[in-house]
Amino acid sequence: MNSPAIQLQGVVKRYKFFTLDNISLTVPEGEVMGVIGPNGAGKSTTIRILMGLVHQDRGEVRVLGRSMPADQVAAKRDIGFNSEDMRLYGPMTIDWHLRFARSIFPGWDEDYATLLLKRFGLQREQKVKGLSHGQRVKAALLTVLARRPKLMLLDEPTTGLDPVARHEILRELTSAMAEEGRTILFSSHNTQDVEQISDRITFIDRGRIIDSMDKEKYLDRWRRLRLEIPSGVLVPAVRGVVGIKQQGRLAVATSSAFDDELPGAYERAGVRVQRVETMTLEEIFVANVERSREEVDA
Amino acid sequence: MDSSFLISQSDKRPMYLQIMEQVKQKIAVGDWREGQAIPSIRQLAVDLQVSVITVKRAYLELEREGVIVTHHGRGSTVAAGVELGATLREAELDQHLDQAARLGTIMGLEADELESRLRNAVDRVTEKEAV
Amino acid sequence: MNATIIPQLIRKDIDLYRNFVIGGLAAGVVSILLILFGRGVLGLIGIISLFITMIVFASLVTGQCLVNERKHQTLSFLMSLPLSALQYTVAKLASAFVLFLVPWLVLTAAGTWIVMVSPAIAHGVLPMFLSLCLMIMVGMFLTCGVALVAESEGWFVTATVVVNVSYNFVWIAIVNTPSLAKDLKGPTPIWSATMLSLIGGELALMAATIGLTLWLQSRKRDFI
Repeated sequence: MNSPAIQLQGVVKRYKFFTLDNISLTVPEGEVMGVIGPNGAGKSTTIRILMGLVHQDRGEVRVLGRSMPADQVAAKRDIGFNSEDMRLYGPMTIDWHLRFARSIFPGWDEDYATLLLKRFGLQREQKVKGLSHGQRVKAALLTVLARRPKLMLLDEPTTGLDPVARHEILRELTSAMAEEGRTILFSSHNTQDVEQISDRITFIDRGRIIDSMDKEKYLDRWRRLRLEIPSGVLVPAVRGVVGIKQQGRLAVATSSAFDDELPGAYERAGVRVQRVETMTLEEIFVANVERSREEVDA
Repeated sequence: MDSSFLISQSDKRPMYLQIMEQVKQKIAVGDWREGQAIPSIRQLAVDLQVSVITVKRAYLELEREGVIVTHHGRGSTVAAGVELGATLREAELDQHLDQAARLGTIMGLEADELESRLRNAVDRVTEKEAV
Repeated sequence: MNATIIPQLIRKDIDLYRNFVIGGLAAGVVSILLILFGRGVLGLIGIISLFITMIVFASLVTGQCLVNERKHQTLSFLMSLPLSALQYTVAKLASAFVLFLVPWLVLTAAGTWIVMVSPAIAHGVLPMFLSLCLMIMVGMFLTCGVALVAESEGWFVTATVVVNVSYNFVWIAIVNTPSLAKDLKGPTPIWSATMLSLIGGELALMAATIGLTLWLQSRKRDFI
């Protein structure tokens, strides 16, 4: 059993107006972990801590078995990093960047790089400053993908991309997982991308992890129930229901731990369950954040 | 390599269910035959651009239903003796009946009211066929 | 494998700022021509422009090469490579040095040659000329250090202004030091004890700047 690709234990980082609080997360080798959170939640800070670019105030960080930030040089040999605010060198060509990366990383796959250029619609001799936003993002990701790194840490890899470019990127990310022993952790607020390619999903909000689970389990456990409440009937508190919104005789209950027994709990109290609906990851995410913020404020 | 699968975004059902249905369809129409090797979990995940865990789940459920067989370390094949043509129709019928039942409940119909309406529907269809 | 990353980073900066070096050289050549062929005032302007070229070039090199990484957001690209904050700093100081060195060497050598060859200039001026050239290199390292440690363009500009202004004071102080001034007009270059300690002081300041920069950078907890 290999050691996990990523291990965060009780990580704390304090800034003037923001604190990353008690982050614990394990990502085993071979997994795609999607991190979802609103802006300012702490996704970028967490990824920077994983890269050793930011030193945590407390807690242990191990990436590919190496302690961060102490061992960052060795770790970064096998990590491919990209972040939304990262830029390449404007006056230089794409080819210059590829040759630069190739000179540093022995695992560089020139054939794959050429293939990616074609797939992404980029040309070697293009200067970076002449590229559109989407092309620049693809060029930067190309320098990461062609190295075939063991671990990819990607901070919002598809943000700001048009649907075609997003599709191209997701294709390469899932392709990468065809190889055994490779791991991806990426952050996004595009819940559809996360839902599509993640094995596990972590929700982060206001500096704390509010939930972390198998993607399929999330999609199984969260349900929306449409209820009809006859007059004079009180809606019971049902275990596993995290929120109810009622207007007149109709209500919507959101459950985070649905099982087949749950509708029965309402039926027995005289409340009619009209429909049980699945929820998209986006809806789950918003509901989860609302619930967690209520808990904190209470 | 088979990339004729498609995950539809407008389809509200979970991805793993869509995969299961498409596998069954391939078998039902005869594109995939008994004993034929089907794409590995990883390969299908790459082709569909979905997470490995989603395909894994689909394959697990398919195996549980007896549609495919997984040979440890050697991938999966279509199970022998799978009569899917009929099973698919059964599933479709159940789906339609569930929908009718749901609507009936919303409208406040009792079970025997629904039953009689179903009889009426059968009569209507038989009449049309006879014409 | 890691040993080659610093040379590769230096090579990268040379690729990026090659035109600057060429520009600096061109400006330097103009100054030299002015000195060689300019009569009277033009020759004097040539000498002044020689120093100004060196000073401006030092500021430009440090500014572009160092400040730009953060300004143009390429720093995280670099730090995603297998290198530590310390290695990055070493590479940056080395890049600035290499880029600055080319025009500086040309100008210092040309200036030395002119001083030794020209009948109109007292050769005694040579040690002071060299110490001034060296001073500009020290100033470059000082502004480099500030740019790297302070991580802000504002601080870098302040440091540049302070350093450049202080050249004047240092120069005036040198010229007004009797033990140095008396050797200026002589026919041979005299390496007096005072002059040698001046040059030694400059080198020591340069080493201290580099050392302090490296130390402060290696202690940073948030590199980005």
